[in-house]
Amino acid sequence: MSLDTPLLSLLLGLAAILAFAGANGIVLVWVERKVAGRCQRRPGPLHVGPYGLLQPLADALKLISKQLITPRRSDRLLYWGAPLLSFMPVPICFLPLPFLPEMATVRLNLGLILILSFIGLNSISLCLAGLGSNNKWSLLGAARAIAQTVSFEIPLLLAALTAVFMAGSMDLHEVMAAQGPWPWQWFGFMNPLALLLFLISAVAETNRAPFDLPEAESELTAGFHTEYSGMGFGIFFLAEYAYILIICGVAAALFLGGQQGPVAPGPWWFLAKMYALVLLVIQLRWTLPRVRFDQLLNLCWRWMTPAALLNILATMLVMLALKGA
Amino acid sequence: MFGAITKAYGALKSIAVGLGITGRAVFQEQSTVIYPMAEVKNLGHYRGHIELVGSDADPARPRCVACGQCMDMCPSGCITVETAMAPAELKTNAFIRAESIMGQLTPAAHFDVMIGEREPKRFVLDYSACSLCGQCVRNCPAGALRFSTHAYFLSRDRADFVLDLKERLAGQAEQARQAEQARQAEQARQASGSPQAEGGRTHE
Ligand code: SF4
Ligand code: SF4
Repeated sequence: MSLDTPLLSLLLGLAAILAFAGANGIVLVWVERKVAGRCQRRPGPLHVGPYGLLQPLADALKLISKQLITPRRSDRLLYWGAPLLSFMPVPICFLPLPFLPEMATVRLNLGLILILSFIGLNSISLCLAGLGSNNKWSLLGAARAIAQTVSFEIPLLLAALTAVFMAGSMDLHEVMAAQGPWPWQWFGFMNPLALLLFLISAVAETNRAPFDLPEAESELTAGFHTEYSGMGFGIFFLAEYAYILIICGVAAALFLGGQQGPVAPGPWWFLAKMYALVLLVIQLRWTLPRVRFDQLLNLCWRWMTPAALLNILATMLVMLALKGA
Repeated sequence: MFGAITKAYGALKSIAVGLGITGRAVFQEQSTVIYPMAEVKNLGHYRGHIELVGSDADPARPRCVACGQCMDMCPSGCITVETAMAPAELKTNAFIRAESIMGQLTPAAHFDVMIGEREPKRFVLDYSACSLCGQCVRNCPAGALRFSTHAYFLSRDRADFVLDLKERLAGQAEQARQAEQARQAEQARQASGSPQAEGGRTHE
């Protein structure tokens, strides 16, 4: 059987993506805990493996070996469907990301739309988890998740649309190609407001602190995943890191030139930018306290949505003016 | 509009300042001391189990006059003092007054103890029952008890927490004597300008 068989290449690709997502989850947990430690002037994980590198593996083993408990009077289907639904879109979202040189990836002319729409599924899974758990904290977490994602999707999409306007395409490869190798040729520097709005809504969209209201340990125990044990929780966790990676990848491609770089352009530039953004998101979590829910919605509806609308309008006007000139 | 922009600018600036603080912390020295690899240096504040205080004349001999107050005061009953007559040469004609905590409503009962008449033959603390309340330290008329800085005290066996404090004091005095001797020898070496002086420094 040759490697060209569609089924085989599909399976191989899927396995590669899942392995990448899993490995990333494990490494990012380590990075997150190290950054958390260093930000608070502690050492972070230290004892399992060199520099505590194997700590996430040990944690994963623990999670896998734990008993899966279904709470009494919960809705079994929703309860166990939710973590699966939360992870299912991950491989699809990885497909259009420009990890590899142009030839080797799946070219999708609506790649951006694909990613952003499938990321939205995550909020549904959080909602199902909260509904199915038969627990009031979970339910509150689910309600928050829905309100939050529905709100922040708007500035997120508007900010992404700004970059799409500037490039004239929704294919992430073409958006990258429309930007130059130097930082001032990247959309994020031509239009910093769009980059800023995108990053803030991305953090909110992935439910990361300071916008981690659906979890909110201090208020809701663990929010939507209060009742989940073992890998039920583990899958939510893995999905969270995968989404952070995806959304940072999108930001790197849309606003930071993706694979473009001053020297030796190529996929490594994309990876470097993506991980730099991931690091920023992680550090934000350990810098800022959680916002209150009314602050969160005010931020979205009274600040970011109008700003995104004005920004997109201004971008269009400038583009028209440049075209006319 | 202008107000909104200044407000947004202020918010973004505060985020940048916060990121700067955590970012700097990443490269600063860590405050956490991880025990088996390093030890904290502020054990002076530590209140470990009680220990006997040596007398001024002979640090190996406790100040305790074997009045038994601590034994009576201890709410957990974890102190056992056995007394014996002290060697005749220690005897003084001075007395100290031991006050009893019994008299919280009535006037406190008290009695006088002659210094140097008796001494503890054995002074045993059952640390496994001690609540670290400090009654014994506070009420000892001779100032013969204090909290130790014995922080790294672990055992799997409960019997190890029954401590003979008199023996412990003797051991401590011996250790202090040896340390003092080593220090003096070191000083002498340094004074005579021997090349060994640098290498002889003990680990902190
Ligand atoms: S500290 Fe309190 S409990 Fe401990 S020996 Fe002294 S009196 Fe007893
Ligand atoms: S109260 Fe003080 S002097 Fe009296 S027996 Fe206890 S330690 Fe010794």
